[in-house]
Parts: sequence; structure tokens; C-alpha cells
Amino acid sequence: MRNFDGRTALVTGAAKGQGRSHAIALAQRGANVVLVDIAAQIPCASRMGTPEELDETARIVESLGAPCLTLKADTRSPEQMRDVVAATVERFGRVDVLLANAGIAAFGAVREMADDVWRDVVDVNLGGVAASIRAVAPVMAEQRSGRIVATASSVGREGGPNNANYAASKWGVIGLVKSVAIELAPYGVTVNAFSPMSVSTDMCHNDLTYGLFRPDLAAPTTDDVRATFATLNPMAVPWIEVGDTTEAVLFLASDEARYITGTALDVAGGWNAFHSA
Amino acid sequence: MNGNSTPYDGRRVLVTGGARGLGAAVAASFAAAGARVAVWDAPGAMALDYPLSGAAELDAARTVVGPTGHVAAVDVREVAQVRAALPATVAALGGLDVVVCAAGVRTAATAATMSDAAWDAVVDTNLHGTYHVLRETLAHLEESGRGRIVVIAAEEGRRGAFGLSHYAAAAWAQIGLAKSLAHEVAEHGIAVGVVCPGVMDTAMSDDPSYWAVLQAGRDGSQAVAGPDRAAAEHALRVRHPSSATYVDVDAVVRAVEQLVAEPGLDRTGAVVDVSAGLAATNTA
Repeated sequence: MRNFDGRTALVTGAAKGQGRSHAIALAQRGANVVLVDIAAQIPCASRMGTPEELDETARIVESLGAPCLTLKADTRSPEQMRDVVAATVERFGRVDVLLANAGIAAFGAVREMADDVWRDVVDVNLGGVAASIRAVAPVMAEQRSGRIVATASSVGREGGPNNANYAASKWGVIGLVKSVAIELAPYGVTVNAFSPMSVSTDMCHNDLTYGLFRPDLAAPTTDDVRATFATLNPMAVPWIEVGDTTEAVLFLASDEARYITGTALDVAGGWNAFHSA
Repeated sequence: MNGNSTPYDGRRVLVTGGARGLGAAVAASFAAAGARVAVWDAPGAMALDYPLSGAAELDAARTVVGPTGHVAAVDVREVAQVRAALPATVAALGGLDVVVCAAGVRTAATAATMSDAAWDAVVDTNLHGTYHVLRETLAHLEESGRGRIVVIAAEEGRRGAFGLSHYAAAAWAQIGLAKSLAHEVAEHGIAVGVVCPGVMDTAMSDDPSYWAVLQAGRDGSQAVAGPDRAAAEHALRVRHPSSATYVDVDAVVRAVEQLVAEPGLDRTGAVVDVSAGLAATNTA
């Protein structure tokens, strides 16, 4: 299925995880792919992508025959994101799809939260998504077409104890997306969020997250946390695979989703059935 | 309230953004009901189209809170300022039972045209400022044993809003923060509530760029020749199921007070809409 033939898609957080999965699928489906990643570690966050991993994503995308532009950028910087979009337009002439996927997690109770744990998570997950959207919005409005998909979370639909920074950032993404959806609707540009439950990536599988789910154990293993994760949703699945997220995101980015805008699509094993909206 | 005993006798209340607008009304109401009230306001300069409170408003707040109160210039965007101001505030009140986060600003521009400074002013004040104040005051609220937090978000925290994507994002994020915190602090007897007011007739609404957004309608489709307050007010009446132009400030104050007055935790995590009927368009 080459339903993105000739389209230019920009993916943030492309070095690994969901971003890499999206980028590979876009390449398989015919898109020109722009890979963006900070490719550096923010100290408080779970393990982030490296320059080598970003290069590896590019290698895979190119091996699929897709034209590829790889850019190191910090989504928190509106200036850097404007440069990314300018470089994309210079190379490919337009931007058809933005997947504002870059995100980080770091946990703790507000009472004990270090300043950077709040600030970095909110600045990347909300500020970075906003900077990415603000950078492409004028271009897509001018084109009178475009697809924007921002990554929110099931935790953007309820309160998250020991996760207030992440919850706030993801709630914010949904409010942002709904607003920009209204603004860009007359231009044929759709803007959506998608809200996954835990995804089987480094953000899920790390000692800090495992400790949050099994505070009773000194060093919980994957097997120790599996059942606890699974209690969050009625399908009782502990975590979904990156491919599950890519299918949903690429649907929202497709021609077929032309009248879907301003939504927040839950891919969460029914966790969302516990939420009011 | 009359007499020597009032519902808030001796209750120790901090109101951020308390020198003007809704915050000032909240501060005045608590003070009149016997609370010891501290007001923080008068932030540093930021990219807004209306003037912020300053020394004159702080002076007025001193009169309102009286000799048992406390007034300080604090920019909640700066966690260092919050940390520096808090000890004197808590000392002046003799502790802290209630925190009302009313410091907030608004600019209006579409995401495609918004300046970086406009994004920063709104998100730094409304979201990061709220967080800074909550993070730093929690220890005192735990000591209180009957701590109450009320976060003032906005009607735009309940839906998308044309020309206000930053303001909506911050309001949604404030709700996510408050709901998360409600889980965390219940064990200390602290209740966390959110009030989402619609447009009030305060200094924040005396803003031509905001009028233009209102005039454009909720989908931004109405042609706007130029910002016009009367046209904006007409648009508000059209939009509001109540047909009122503005949300009554006193109605918002009552919502805040009711959340504070609730003796237990039965309402913790709640979001209260005071939005001239726009709640009728909420999904939930």
C-alpha cells in the first residue's frame, strides 16, 4: 500500500520507538521522510535516542527507497523547528504530514518533584509539540492541505498520580490540538491527537517506571510489572506494540481521514472507557 | 458575613493574581468572611495587549486584606520568586490552609501567527506559574490538615478555542495537573478543585486582540473589520446559552468558596464550569 506516495512527512522523535516505527511505515507507503530528533539525553528523562539510532532510522528508511532528510533539532526551540520546516520545504517543496511525536517521561510526586522533572517534561511534550505545530501551520495553510498528528496519552484523559508533569503536558496537547483544528479547518488541514496507553518502548521499560508500578519490590523485572500494567485497561494488555500506534497515527494522517479533525483517538485497550470523554 | 464567627474565621488563604480581576474579588470575599488573606500579584513585564497589575493594585489589595493579611509582588513564572516570597507570606498568615491559583494571562492569536513570546507569556504564567505555587505550598497545606487548593483554569480548558490555542492548552494542562495532584494529596486531607470561568468583565477582557477573536466567532469564520468591544460583546451573547454577555465574577467567587467550604474530600478532583451556559456544550 503506497498511500503516501510523493507525500512529505516530518516525524519528530524519529531516532527510535514510536517515531522510528512511524517513519519506517511512511517510507514503506511511499513518503519522503524527514527525521527529526534531539539525539541527546535530557538528564531527567528515560533513555532517549542517540545520534547512532537516528542514523539507523535513516538507514532503514533509505533502504526502503524513500528520500530522507535527517535533522538534529530540539523541538522545544521554536526557532529550530522553523529551521526544520524551512529545510523540509527547501528539500521537498512542501510538508504534507507532521507527526509531532517527540516526548519524554520522568516521574514523581509533585511534592518532591525536581524543577527539571516538571519543566523538561512539559516543555518537550507540550511546548515541543506546539513549536512543531506552529512551525508547520503557516506552510500547511498556504498549501491548503496537511495532516498533523500529535501524540497525547491515556494519561491526557485522567489524573495521573506521580505523573502530574506528564499528565499536564498530555492534557495540554489535546487542548492545543482541538484549538488548532478549528483554526486550520478552513484550509483543509486536519489536526488530531492520538492517545495511547503504555507502549512497549524505553519509556515504558525502565527501572523508574517499573518501580512506580511495583513500589513493593526493590528491583522489579518485566515479568513483575506485567500484571500491574495490565490492570489499567479492560482488555488487560500490559503494553501495546509500536506497530499498534503506527496504524492509528497513519490512519489519521491518511487521505481517508479527511474529515477527522480535532479528535483525540484512544488506542488503549479500552482504558478510555473509564473516562468521561 | 456578620458577627464574630464566620465560615472562614482565621482561615489562612493565599490568592495569586489577587490584586485585580477575579483574584481580587476572591481575596476580598475571603477577607470579608474573616479569613487572613495573602495576595501575590504584579508580575514582571510580558507580551500582553493589556496592562498588568502594579504598585497601585498592590496598595489597594493591602487595604482589602487589612492588618491580618499580607501583600507581595511575586511573579509566579519564576519559581525562585515563589520560593523567596513564601516564608514571609506563611509567617504573616501564621500558616496556610487555602491556595487559590488565580494568576493568569491571555493573549489572542492563531497558532500560525502567534509569536513565541505570546506562547511563553500564557504557558509560563497559567501553567508553570500554577505548578510553581502548588509545588511550593504543598508542605504548608499538609501541615494545615485541612488544605484546600482551587485552580482557576478557563472555559477554554473544556474544548478547543479559535485564536487561543496556547490559552486552551494551558487550561487543559492545569486540569490534568490538578486531577493528578488530587490523587497524590488526598492522604493529607487536601482537596483540589478546578474552576473554569468563561469571559468575565475584567481588565483581562479589555484587550482588542481578544475582541477580534470573539468577533470572529467560535469557528473563526466571521469577517472582522477591526477590533470592537461592542461587537465582541454581541458575539458573546450569541455564543452563551445564558444570553449573558459576561460571566458574573461573583458567581465564580462563589464556586471557589464552595470548593473551599466543602468539609471533606468528596469533591476533590472536580472541575466546576461557570461559563454562561457553555457547559451545556461539554461532552462531560
